Amino acid sequence: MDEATAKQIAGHARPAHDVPASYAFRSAEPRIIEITDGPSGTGALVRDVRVWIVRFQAGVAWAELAIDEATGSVVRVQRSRA
Amino acid sequence: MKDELESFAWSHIERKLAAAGATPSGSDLARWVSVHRQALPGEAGGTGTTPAPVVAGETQTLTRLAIYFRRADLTVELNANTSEPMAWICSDFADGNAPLTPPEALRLAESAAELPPGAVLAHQGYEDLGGRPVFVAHWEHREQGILVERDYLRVLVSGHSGRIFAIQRCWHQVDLAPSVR
Repeated sequence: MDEATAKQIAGHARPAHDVPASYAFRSAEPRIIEITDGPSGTGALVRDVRVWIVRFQAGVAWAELAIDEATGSVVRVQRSRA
Repeated sequence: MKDELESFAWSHIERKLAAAGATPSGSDLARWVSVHRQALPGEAGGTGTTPAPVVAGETQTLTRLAIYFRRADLTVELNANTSEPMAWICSDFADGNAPLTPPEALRLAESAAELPPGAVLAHQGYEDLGGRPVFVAHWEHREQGILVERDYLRVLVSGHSGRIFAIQRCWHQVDLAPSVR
């Protein structure tokens, strides 16, 4: 997956993840992140995932979608505090 | 409540200090010195059997007291799953007067960091931390050039003493297979 594809996937996925339309695309960078499968807590399985972190921003507010490089799915959403 | 023997040990220490011209208050002394009763060989927690010495006509009791002198506070963080050290800090190591140049400080930091494969120096240099000059060397974890989120190694060298006084390590082997961590 290249940056353009990651950006395109994130663009399509942003409404489903409540990323406001006013947020503009800011950056996309590859990263390796830890994902917990199932409910977090003792015994939860954790794996590393190669993702593209696509960031949208408006002023100091931001949202980041992590796009799994292998599957193209959104595996994590992080956002600034409201 | 201190037992009689511990009180004796404290009195002995205070007499010795007074004889040397030092008169610390009790609370000061308790901050720097601690007295602990130890198990004798043969007692629970002891390491063998050694009879207490007996002098003819007298009954003696052998007691062993350990006296500890505080040198510094050292805080160590261990990974509860792997027991690997994650961080240590000893602020007393920051005191002194032998500052290093940045290249010297970086070489010292590198020698102590035990840099794993994938460690990439992200930034280094003197910073003002809490009003003190501190050389900070910070490595991030990259696999084939890709940043591994949250992993880092940081070594702090005192700008006063030229000694390392803290190492912080948050690192893991990248594994795409699910596992308990």
